[in-house]
Amino acid sequence: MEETRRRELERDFQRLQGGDRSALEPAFRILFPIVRSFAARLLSPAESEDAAQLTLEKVFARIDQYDAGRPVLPWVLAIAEWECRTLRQRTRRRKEDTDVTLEKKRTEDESPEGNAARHEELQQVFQAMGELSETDRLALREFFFDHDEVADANARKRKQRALERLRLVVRRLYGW
Amino acid sequence: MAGESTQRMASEDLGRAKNAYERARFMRAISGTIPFSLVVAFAMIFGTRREIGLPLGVALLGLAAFSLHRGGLFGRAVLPGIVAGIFPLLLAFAARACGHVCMGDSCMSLCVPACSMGGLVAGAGLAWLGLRTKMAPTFFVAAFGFTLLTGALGCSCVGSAGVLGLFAGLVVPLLPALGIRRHA
Repeated sequence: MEETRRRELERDFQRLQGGDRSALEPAFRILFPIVRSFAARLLSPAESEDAAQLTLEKVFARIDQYDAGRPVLPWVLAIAEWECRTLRQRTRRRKEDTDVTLEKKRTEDESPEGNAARHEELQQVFQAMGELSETDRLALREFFFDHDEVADANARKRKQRALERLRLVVRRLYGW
Repeated sequence: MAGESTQRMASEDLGRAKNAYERARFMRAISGTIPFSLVVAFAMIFGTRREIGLPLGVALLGLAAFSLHRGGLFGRAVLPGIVAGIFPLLLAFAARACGHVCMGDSCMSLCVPACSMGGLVAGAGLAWLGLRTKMAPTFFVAAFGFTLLTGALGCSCVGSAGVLGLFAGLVVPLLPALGIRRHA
């Protein structure tokens, strides 16, 4: 940052500490692009926007903690770095929680109780298929057992319609 | 389109930054008045009548919070003004404790002389501070207000006479100092 802008920023910060609100916008306009590009180097585009916004809020909320006479930018970027790190940890924790939830579900499904429940559901589906027409049953047999990637659009539509009718029957008979 | 969206985000972020700044100043102003509430509590405990102490205390703390939040010269006047006002406050309580002084057939309360003296010393202190730090006239006026309100907590011991004595004592050194700074 050039010397004049740096001095301008320091003066704005000192004025803000004294309560001069007119210094806020000029200081913000200088800092906004700097903080944004700093955060963009550490985070994804969406996260970097959040981090930049939180950083600037914290900077102006804690302006009384800024040591007048020291350079502004290192202080601001230290807050930015902290916000980026916090956001990154939060994202990582959220991803870990999702992984744990999925793993928990997989483990439950593979448990004896999970297996028994799945078996019962499958029995119900096969029984429901008995209520469908021959055409629908044929289409679903291909879906369940053949797993062919059918190129024909009509065949795909038949399978889709058969599945929808099967869902309605299952809901009517077993409530799920 | 991208430019417009960036500008909109920037002005939204600016709005949030302003709100964060004002919120923080407000909280600091409120917490800044807590020590001064001890002065009011002290005055109420040691003799200020409730019907006088409460409105004075509320006015003092309200103005202090407002000035601290506003900042500038008003904010800077709060601490020296209230600290200066403690001197006549304490003198007034001391005078009350002494009771009346009798000379011959006439007796008088020491409250008014104590408050005038307290005001004089407080005013001199504020004048010295304001001149030394080259404060603008607004500082003197604001600090005068805070000193008067603080001192009045004690100087209302004999009603308005004590407060008038305080007022007179304050004005004597402050007016010249204000004049000097106005023409500086």
